Amino acid sequence: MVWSRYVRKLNETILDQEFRTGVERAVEAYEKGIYRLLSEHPESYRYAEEVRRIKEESLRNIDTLVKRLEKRCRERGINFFYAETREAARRYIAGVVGSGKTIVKSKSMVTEEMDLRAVLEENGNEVWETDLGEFIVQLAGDEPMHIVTPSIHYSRHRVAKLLKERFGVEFDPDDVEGMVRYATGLLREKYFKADVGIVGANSLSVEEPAVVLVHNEGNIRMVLNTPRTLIVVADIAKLVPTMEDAIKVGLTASRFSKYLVTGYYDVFTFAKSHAEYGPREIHLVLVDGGRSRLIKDPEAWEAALCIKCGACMYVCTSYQIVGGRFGGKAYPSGIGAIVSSFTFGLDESLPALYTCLLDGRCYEICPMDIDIPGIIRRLRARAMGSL
Amino acid sequence: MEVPRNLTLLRDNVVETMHIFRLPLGRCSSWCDGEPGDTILYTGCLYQTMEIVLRRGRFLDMVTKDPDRDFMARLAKIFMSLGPVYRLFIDPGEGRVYNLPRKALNILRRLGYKVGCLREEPYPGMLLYEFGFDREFREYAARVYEYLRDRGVKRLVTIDPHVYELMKYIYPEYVPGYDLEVVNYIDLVLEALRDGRARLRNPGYSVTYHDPCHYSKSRHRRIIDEPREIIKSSGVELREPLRTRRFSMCCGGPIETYYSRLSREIAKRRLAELREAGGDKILVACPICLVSFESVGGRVMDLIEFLDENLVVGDGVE
Repeated sequence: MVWSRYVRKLNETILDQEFRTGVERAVEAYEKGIYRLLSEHPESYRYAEEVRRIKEESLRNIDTLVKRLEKRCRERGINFFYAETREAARRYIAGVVGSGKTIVKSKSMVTEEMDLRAVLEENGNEVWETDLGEFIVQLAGDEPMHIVTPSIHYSRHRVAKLLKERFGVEFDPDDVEGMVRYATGLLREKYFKADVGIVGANSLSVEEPAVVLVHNEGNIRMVLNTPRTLIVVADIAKLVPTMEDAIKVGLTASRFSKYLVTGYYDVFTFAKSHAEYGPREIHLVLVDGGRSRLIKDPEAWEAALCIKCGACMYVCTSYQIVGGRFGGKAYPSGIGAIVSSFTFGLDESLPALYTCLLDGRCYEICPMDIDIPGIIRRLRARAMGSL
Repeated sequence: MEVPRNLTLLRDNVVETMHIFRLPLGRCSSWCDGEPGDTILYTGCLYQTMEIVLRRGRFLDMVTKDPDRDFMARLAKIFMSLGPVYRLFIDPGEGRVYNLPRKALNILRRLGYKVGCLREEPYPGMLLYEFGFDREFREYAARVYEYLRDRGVKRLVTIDPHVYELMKYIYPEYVPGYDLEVVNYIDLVLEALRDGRARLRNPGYSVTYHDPCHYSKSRHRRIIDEPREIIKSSGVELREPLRTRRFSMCCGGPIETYYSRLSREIAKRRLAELREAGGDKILVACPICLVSFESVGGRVMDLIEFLDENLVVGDGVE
């Protein structure tokens, strides 16, 4: 069943010309840009090496870091919740939000993984994705195809059609600027109406509790500041000791996402003054959902070093054809298949683990030097060993 | 755990017969003239197997098109147990791809290397390793090692990236006491060219070279410049595709046995990219790449064929 469903999707995607064109365009732009960027800015590799050391150290001390962050948060009046499972996280967040609210969200793959938007909507809330790519995916009722650029499989024609269907507005598909202006205008109203903001995290600093968010559209800044209640959702592998470490993670991730600099590098500290000037109520939800097993796994732990730059996805041979249809839920390609083996189970992730060609393009580009094909082969062996 | 039957079918074939498609091991090496010796050309039956994949693609496709075709895989298993009838059907005879080891052996001998061969060659078990049948692979590799040792083999010359990497770097991790020396024919050819023992004639066409993944992205040893040096020494113009060297693109072959549609799309896309590079010929150095591209309508040349065509030993008088 798992295999049939998966392969049906793969084969449908192969035939979807519009999807293929979108993915093709994105991966080519990425590959052309990244090699130039890295050769012009070789210091990016130095950042990456340093971040790898920081992340390794953090994963080794993950239990201590989590406890310490909890203590720091409590000292600052931040509501801290450690969710062992996705269900627990969902329940907690749903409880905080309640019903009849307007929620603005930043793009966050861990919330995608737990179907948070659907749960909140079922409870009678209005949820708006404010990252434009994610906004398109939301309008279409689809899934994101990349962790940095979720809607690469949507052409401007498809977007124009969606806007017409959902809002009754007509756009010339070539008027991309007009569509962007319309969407940002629509979202601008929502920020001020919103009761709750939900953001993810590129990294979380423990000693001076802070969340680092790297983005291009400025939307996250609005989500952080405008609503009265702010919920930060992050998986536990995002923790690093200091603010300096957290900033380096964000900077490195954006470099390998092909940006020399992005439009915004936000550091939102959990300062006491927020209660007066910004969100009155702040919640930090740390999601485990199988990740502590990954972090402690002697064969696969390296996958938890991932800083979510998305480089391995763009360059993956299989991804370049079928995009995020290869991989785990909300976490495409080989690295996603590995992580889902822990967050959703090996059985569920097997078809994805076998989509990998073991050719190793991902390993060549990964700033954290994660041996993705090696781990995939070992997870296959684990599955086959249990036959 | 739900596992596609075509994966376990191939596993069983290898473990039971030492041949992916259950053919007698003699069918791997009719090119061998029977000269033994402590150094042998070891092809692992890869080119020979890929001849079957190329020529019996339609039959194999029925079994392997989708991983959920359990029924077809069951049928195939029964069919394969029919022995002689099945063998007659599956064996495509000795076509172009099958005969590349013969050419390689000939090239090595012309260059003055003393290389023997086995009249019955076992498959080295790459699929077991890549598909994750680790327990089976560990036992199997020990069997293959013993098989080779029993025949007095001390040194292997390999002619493709998969067998090379497997025998040189992976076997030692799995087989206790493994001490076969493994040499790549590319190094031997290059050595002869550098020594001036031989040279390559310029055939007058330009070539686009496609790096095989297990040379260009190997975590053990990268063979990227060596084939280029060989090709360029002939004086031909060498063109590079958009994705090349350590960022070269896979041919799609590795998932061919269960996601054949995706595999073919990958091959088509890479083939288009190779054509775009504009060389008169596309050169590959791996039997899996060769057959992946030919299966989707490409005409490509193996490095062995390029050497066979253009190698001049001594002053050209042999």
